[in-house]
Amino acid sequence: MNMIQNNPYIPAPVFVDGITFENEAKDLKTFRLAFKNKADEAAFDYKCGQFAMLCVPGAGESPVGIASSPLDKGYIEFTVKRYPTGVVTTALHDLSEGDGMGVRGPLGNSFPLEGLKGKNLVIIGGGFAFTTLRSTIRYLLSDGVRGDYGTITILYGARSAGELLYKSELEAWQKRSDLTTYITVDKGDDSWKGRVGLVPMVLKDVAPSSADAHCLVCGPPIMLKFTIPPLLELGFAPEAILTSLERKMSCGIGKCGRCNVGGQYVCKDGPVFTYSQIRHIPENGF
Amino acid sequence: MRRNTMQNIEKKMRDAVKGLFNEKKVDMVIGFQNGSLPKTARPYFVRSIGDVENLVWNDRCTVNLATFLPKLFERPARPKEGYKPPRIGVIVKGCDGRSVAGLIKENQAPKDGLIIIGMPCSGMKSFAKSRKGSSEVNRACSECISPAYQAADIIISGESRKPAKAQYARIKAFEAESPEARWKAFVEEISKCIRCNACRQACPNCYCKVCFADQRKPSWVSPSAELSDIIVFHMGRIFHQAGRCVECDACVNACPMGIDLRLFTQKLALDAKDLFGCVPGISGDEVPALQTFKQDDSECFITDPEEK
Amino acid sequence: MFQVALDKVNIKKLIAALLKEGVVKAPVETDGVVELAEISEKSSVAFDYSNVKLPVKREFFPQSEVISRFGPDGVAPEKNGAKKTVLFAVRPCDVQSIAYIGKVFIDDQYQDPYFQDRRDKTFIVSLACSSPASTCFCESLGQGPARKSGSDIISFKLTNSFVFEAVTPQGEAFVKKNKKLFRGPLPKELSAIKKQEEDAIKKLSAVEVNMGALKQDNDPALWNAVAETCLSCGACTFLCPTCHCFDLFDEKHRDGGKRVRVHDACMFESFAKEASGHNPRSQKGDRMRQRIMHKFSYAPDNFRLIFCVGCGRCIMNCPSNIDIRETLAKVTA
Repeated sequence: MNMIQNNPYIPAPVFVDGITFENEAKDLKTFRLAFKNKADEAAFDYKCGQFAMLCVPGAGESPVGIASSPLDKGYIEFTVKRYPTGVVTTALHDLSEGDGMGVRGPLGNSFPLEGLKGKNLVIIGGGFAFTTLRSTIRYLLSDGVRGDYGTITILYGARSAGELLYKSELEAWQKRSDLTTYITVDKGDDSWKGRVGLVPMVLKDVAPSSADAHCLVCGPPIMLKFTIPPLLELGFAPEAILTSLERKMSCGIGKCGRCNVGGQYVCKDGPVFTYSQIRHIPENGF
Repeated sequence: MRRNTMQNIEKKMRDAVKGLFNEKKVDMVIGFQNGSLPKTARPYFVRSIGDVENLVWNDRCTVNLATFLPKLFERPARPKEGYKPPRIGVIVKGCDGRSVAGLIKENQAPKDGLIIIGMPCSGMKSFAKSRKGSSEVNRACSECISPAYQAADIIISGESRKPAKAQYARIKAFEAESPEARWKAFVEEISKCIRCNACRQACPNCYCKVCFADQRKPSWVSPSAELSDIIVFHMGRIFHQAGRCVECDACVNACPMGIDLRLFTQKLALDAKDLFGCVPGISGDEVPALQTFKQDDSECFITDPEEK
Repeated sequence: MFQVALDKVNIKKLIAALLKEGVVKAPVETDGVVELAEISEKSSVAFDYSNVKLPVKREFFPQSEVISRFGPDGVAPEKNGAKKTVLFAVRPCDVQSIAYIGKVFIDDQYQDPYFQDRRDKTFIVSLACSSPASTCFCESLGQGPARKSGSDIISFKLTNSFVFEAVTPQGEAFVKKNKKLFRGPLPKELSAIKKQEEDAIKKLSAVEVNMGALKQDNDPALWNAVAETCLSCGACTFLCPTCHCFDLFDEKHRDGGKRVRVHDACMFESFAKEASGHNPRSQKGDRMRQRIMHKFSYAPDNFRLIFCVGCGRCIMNCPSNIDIRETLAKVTA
């Protein structure tokens, strides 16, 4: 945890090193941030699945999943959607390269990748909840890491072709032989030559094996609601299904009482939960 | 009011409510039941004829029940098939009835969805007063000009207290003090605020889906209890009441800190009456003061605030 | 058990001794309302009261607190300037609550420096209850009118004297430092304080808290019925000694500004509402359930503590008179 003067409320200063528009609607941007102080950079030791508070002084803070891989050096990346009613996301989208802001983190728990070595992995993402999964995939595909894991299957869907994130990386993954990549859109158009179908439907079609496999699945509550039953039918145990939850946050460190799902704080006990941990909590959202 | 008369009124009220359920004229009736603390009454939603016996009427029925109406009549974002707005009966004192009239005028409750049951009111006592065994009624009641709501759909007969004469005596005395003295008194009183929003939530007129104080784009005021934020919140809320406030003291009764909000709400009510001839909920057909203007409206508050 | 006594006539001397330790805050009555206020030697401390209006948590977790300031040079933490403080004659229930919310603010992973600083600088001398309010139900929750833990010294007021018991090493150190003020307690005083505790317990509201029967499943019809007259204000939350929810708010000022922590309430409609417009607890019943479950289920799971000390402030101050004792009975039936 990057703590300035032992104070978990103070962000580390960073500056915007690069901005990429991710979608046609231009309301999703990937921000590449660089730390002003090397000490802060060294202390920002994160794992896949964690998030950070992006801090725009004067506007506030917003929790965003870390989209870069822990092995990416010299920068961290976040993909942020701008909400018209969102004070912070609007302020973020108004930033230009070179502007200063703050980052508080890394926060939360992570995908337990150490313990999953040797396992087969099925990674399912929907919409713009794909960000920490992208971090995970980038990490898994790194030299020296890929060999520790079995087969890797990726299934990623968006509403339309224009809404797919990280398009250049998706293309690169589809060309690799050490993983199987399925990309789908809910609704096709003239530019899209690939698969069309909702993620749960495509999951049933491609039916990845659950043998010795764990599934990481992230998406909006409605997608999770319809994706988890097919996963269970395919034989994935509830403990072997991992997801990442989102709730409105303030402190991000388990003190302000806002982000809980039942007795679990998404910022501290999560955001990564196994399906078995949350299936019986009435407020799980799906 | 003697006890047997009060019981008599209570029985008439219960009979009227039973009648509404028997004739299937309402889906629910909002009234009062005995509270959990001695000598208190509290809001109660009657949903079937079996619950009617729990309805009470006494001098502890302080809450302004009109405050529940906007939310109950709010059309759901995704109405289920066959959704129909509810039909609601509501027990009112004079002040509450004027609040209901205001809500109807501001399209927060439909007239044809409401059955207003007007009670005779001899004045209410707050929990604090009744705990001390005081025989005094609340200030709002001793200064009340409309103890019973005359335009109710069902009027429960009984004796109400006489309307007050010098309703604004205290406000006029306060107005006569120097600006410094008035500011000091205002700050002393309002500094007690802990920003719990009980005043706003208890007020029938505060039904905005997003209160100005909670808006963030732009942000008008911080949620903090810094004096400047407290002042902006209360100034904003109270000024939004001009020509709408019926001086029921729902805000005063709800405030856990015992802030004398009436000193300020009544001033707005007095100004609306003096400057614009507006007394909400009495005449029944007036347009809310803040929603219209006349050519000869006083502008002295701009040109010469100290002059009347 | 380090017990000493003081005749009532000498109480001012004790206050003078406390004033040497720091700022002293004690219950003071104004116009029938008892509030915690800074006192001097001349002040008249209220000893015969049920509880102070506002919970003592505000001394450690104020309604508004500047966390940091930001400007062209970046973000800097705010030094809150807490002074050494003595809380005198506060009630055991409020004292417990400080340790409870302390568990939230200070944990193995993250320590809140603002809370910690105030806590470190505060010395607590509590006053055992002899006259609880009709809405007090502390004992039903494992608390009690003479519960010591969390105090440095607990005091007992008798007809003509006070008895003090040092609870912590700091409490003992204070007593030893000021031993000239005190005398040994008489046997009749010691039996009087026991009787005072027994009598106080008899006056408490007895509530059956059957938490094992608290349903984990949601029952929207039940909770919406419990909450139907709730106004979604924050009176219960802001007056509750164990409620700790807050928000962080940026205030701009010229080319900089400050970040402020303010009290917040899960009872507010927009508490968990997201920028997308989605509100996981849009119904009043869901919010009421959250409040009750947090206090009586999640906190016991996370900290082995019930986050309610039975002080009754929520009961006294709810504008709709929603009574937590009745709520507990309805949801654990």
